[in-house]
Amino acid sequence: MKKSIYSFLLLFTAYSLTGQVSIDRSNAPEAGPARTPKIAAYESFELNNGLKVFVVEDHKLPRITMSLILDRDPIMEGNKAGYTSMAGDIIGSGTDSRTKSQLDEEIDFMGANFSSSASSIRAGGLSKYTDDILDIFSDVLLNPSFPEEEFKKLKSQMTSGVKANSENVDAISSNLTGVSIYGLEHPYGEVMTEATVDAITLEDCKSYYDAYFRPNIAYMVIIGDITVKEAKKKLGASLKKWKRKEVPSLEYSKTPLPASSRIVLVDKPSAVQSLIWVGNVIDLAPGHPDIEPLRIANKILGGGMSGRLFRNLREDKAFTYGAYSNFGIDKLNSTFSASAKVRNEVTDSAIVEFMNELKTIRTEMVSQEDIVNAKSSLSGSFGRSLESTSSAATFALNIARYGLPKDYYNNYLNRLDDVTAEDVLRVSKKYMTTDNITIAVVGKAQDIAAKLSAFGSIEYYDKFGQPSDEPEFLFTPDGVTLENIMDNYYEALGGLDQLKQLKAISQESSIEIPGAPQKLSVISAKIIPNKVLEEQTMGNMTLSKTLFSDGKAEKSGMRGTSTVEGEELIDLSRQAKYVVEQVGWLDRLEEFHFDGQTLIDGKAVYQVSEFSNANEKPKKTHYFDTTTGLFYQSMENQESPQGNISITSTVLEWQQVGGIKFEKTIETKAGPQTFTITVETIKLNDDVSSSLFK
Amino acid sequence: MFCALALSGALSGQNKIDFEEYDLKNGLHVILHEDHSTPIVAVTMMYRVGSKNEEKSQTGFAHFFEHLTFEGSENIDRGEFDNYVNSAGGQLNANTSQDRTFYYELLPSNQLELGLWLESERMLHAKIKKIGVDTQREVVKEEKRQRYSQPYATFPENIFKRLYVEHPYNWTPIGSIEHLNSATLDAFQAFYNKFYLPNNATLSIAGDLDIAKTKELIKAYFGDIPKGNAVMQPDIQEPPLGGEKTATVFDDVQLPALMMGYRMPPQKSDDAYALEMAGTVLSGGASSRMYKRLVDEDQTAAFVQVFPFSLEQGGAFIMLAFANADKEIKDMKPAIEQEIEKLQNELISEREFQKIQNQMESAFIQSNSRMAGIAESLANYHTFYGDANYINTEIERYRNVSRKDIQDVAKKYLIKKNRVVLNYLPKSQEPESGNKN
Repeated sequence: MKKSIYSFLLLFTAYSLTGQVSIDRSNAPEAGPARTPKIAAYESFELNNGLKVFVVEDHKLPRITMSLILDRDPIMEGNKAGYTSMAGDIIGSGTDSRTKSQLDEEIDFMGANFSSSASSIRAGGLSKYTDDILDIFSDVLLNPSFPEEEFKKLKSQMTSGVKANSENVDAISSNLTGVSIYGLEHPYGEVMTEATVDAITLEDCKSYYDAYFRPNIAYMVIIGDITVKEAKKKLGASLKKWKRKEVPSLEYSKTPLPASSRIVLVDKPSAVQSLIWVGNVIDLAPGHPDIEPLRIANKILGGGMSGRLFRNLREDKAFTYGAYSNFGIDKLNSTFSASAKVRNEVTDSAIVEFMNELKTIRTEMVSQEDIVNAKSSLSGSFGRSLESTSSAATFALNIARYGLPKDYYNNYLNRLDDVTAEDVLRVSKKYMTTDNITIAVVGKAQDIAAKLSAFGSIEYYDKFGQPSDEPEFLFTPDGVTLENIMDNYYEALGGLDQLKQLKAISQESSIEIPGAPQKLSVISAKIIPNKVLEEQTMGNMTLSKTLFSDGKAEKSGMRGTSTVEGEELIDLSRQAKYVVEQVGWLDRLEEFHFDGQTLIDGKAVYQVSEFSNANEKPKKTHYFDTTTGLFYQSMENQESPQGNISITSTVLEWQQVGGIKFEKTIETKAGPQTFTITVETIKLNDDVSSSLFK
Repeated sequence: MFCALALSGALSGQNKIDFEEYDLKNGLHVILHEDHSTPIVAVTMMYRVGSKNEEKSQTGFAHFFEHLTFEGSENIDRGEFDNYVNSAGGQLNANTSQDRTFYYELLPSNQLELGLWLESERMLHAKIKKIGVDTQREVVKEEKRQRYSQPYATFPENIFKRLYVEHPYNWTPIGSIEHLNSATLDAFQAFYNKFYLPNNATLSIAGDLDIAKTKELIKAYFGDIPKGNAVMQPDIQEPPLGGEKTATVFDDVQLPALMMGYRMPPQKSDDAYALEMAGTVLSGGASSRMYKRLVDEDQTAAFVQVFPFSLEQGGAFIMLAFANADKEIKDMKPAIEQEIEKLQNELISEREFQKIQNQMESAFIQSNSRMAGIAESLANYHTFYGDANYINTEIERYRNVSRKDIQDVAKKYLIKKNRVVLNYLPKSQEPESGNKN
């Protein structure tokens, strides 16, 4: 009660102090006086074995996290790419006194979390369990048992991971950019494949652990509801047995920029968007004074929704859901890059826009407004990052690892504030190269490759970063036209004149339907130029019968009789004109288009699209074998109760009747179902009984 | 049990979230949480409109609208919305679910008023113009392409469209591009007028603020916004599913996956809480039943995950199992069925029960560490549970679930006639593969 009266008084005071608030909607309100965010305090100490420990006390919530981080040089894993990750996984999979399932059970029972990787072990949970969590942590760190059984399991899981990633555009792009920038002979360019995973042995993992999990290269970071004193005592007790040992140091030469710009591409035939990445390595070490100007340049160019890339590619052009730029600072190699996922059609236009924006920021001084906004935005995000005390730990760790001045992060906002527009221009010129940039695209080559070749000769890679051949897709062979495809086809069948002389045909076919009790029988017959019959029966039952005669058609079946109209009627009247329907194409050649040569089932085929009058998309697509000249396959999409399904008919076998080739076996795939149609008998001309059409 | 109770006492002392809440005359609900640890403030606005409030012929409207409201207002020029926040050192974003649309600005605390101005402009007079509609329509198409280019990403849509037939949970927030293509400017305006009302929204603010002063500012920015007609929530009785529905989806994936969705009761119900506990029994951590069985023992799955996708009027209890290399769906499915049956036939052990309670406690205690999360949770609890104080007390709902309750909901909901089964298979296994078009 007392408390509520007190808050009422406070309220009253506030009113009397500020009076009635008046606002002006037409302008954004002014900011109030700013409070400077504070970096949480940390303490550090070193154990006798060389382990450096950082502690950030944070008692707001009763929880704790502990992370062990190894500071080692990058490792070339060669034909065993993935073995250090595997080592990280296996150490968390059993100790001398706990099986994996005991570890899992103990961790879950506390509602805690635990993970281990190639260069870290992390755990967290409620602080009432600090001792138990630390017990598991040190057990995993000091006494891993490397169980053979778990190793096999992890191997197959890692293989599954490789498989899963092979369809993920982001993972493919990461392989591509790594390889194309650093090359396969660099630790950052290595790609894990099923083969490299398969080559890993348990011994590799053990020797990695033995060589690198050493206190003299490790940092331990503890954050949360614990005092420094407690941390010292607990860690001293649990990790004192951890023995130091000299750790190999590895050196790599700096990755050079390419001599000129490159365009590299991974073909993903099913892609509806292209992932574009443009970027390169930059020579910029942690702590370098160019970092703040570059941070501001990057912010203006592509650091979020206010960045030029986002405004241009999304808000103006609507090419993408988001376009951003980024830079990463690293001891060995830093990078600058920009990326977006855009629809196939605009892939080249989007790259042009990327290049334009890079050119602009490299050549034109940014405005005072741009620079003020960028500074304000960056200080804001610095302030937000401090909401989590883990930032303080990250800063402390970076200071130690990179040998930065102790007040490096405390001075960050001042350094940011000192940056001028001239600085921004200078670093943009220096780091955002356009003359020797790498453009890496993952997308549907068939749709985008031709346009991308405008940026240079395309180098193709596969999903795992191995150089690959140019993919086979539609191209236009010299001298091939729709007319000569048709001529060759008629010739292959037996000659156009012979085909035109045919007067009648009747065929009996059987269709095998998977799961159906009986075969379906089909009788189809035609008398040129005006009668068509199509009858389907199963056993003694007529399922459907379509009879076309003199311009009219009726369909009868289990649902009664109906008159055939529209497209279907037109189709029937076309069929009635020629025994071999495709002969009729000559009468309406303008409805067909020769698209080019491509591959189907490893067979080289010519692709011909058929269009209905006004439709933009082709109604059907036909394929002709380039060697035999024969019709090979047709494909169309149809609405069905299961949604839009594609129906494909492929001729598997031909037969000769009366000197002319006819289809013998046809495989039809409709959505998930496959039917095989076998033409049992064919009668021609006078052998065709006119009573069929009754 | 004793242990859990003792903890509950400690809990309320240590990290209780204090807040004040009230209504403006126009019906806008306000929740304020004061915390001065960091000089930042989260200004959030939750509108009670999501894809379930859409007409069958206007799917995707709520999400599309979220994009449109950033286009500007009477006093904010096109494209300036984000500039204001960015140049103030803040961050903004928004998202749309089946049940609600949520906007937030995370600002340095001296810019609190900017957040109020922006959100009040959005509510009072957002500007809906053809150029914005045309641009954002293309952007949303790219969003959809981007999302669906991820392997397996179509599974929520594929589950919900089969799990619900009458109810608008039939479609997901991204909706239909055709509906967006054919919608008129008037239709968008009508949507705005119907749903973007103070009486259909909760303004929740958390962080470095002075409550009394903030209240005054809120009154000044929002007090004059006219109240609208009450918003009716859909009241559609979905008939029982009436039998298992199965479908096969061919996707750009390498590993076959089994995705099952069971219809769930509304998120507020006791049964929903019990189902959430059941989900933890099945896949909460590496010692959970399904993980242990399929990933560790049988090694038929590379990964399994069970998560109750709870919604205001139902939802889906989703189980995902991704086959290990060279394994197939048929290798995983019998074990999954057995684990479900076991849950139905036997009570879980006391030890397991204690374990999942500890997991729930741990997650609950650690959940409210950031201002943005606190503001959102407060608004969410108020809007859908009718009690913002759930942020402190929701754990009781879990504690009230008994072992028998878990068994009962497994019997009641995790049954074949209440589920959709999707087989995700690599495109290479698709019958018409090999064709190009």
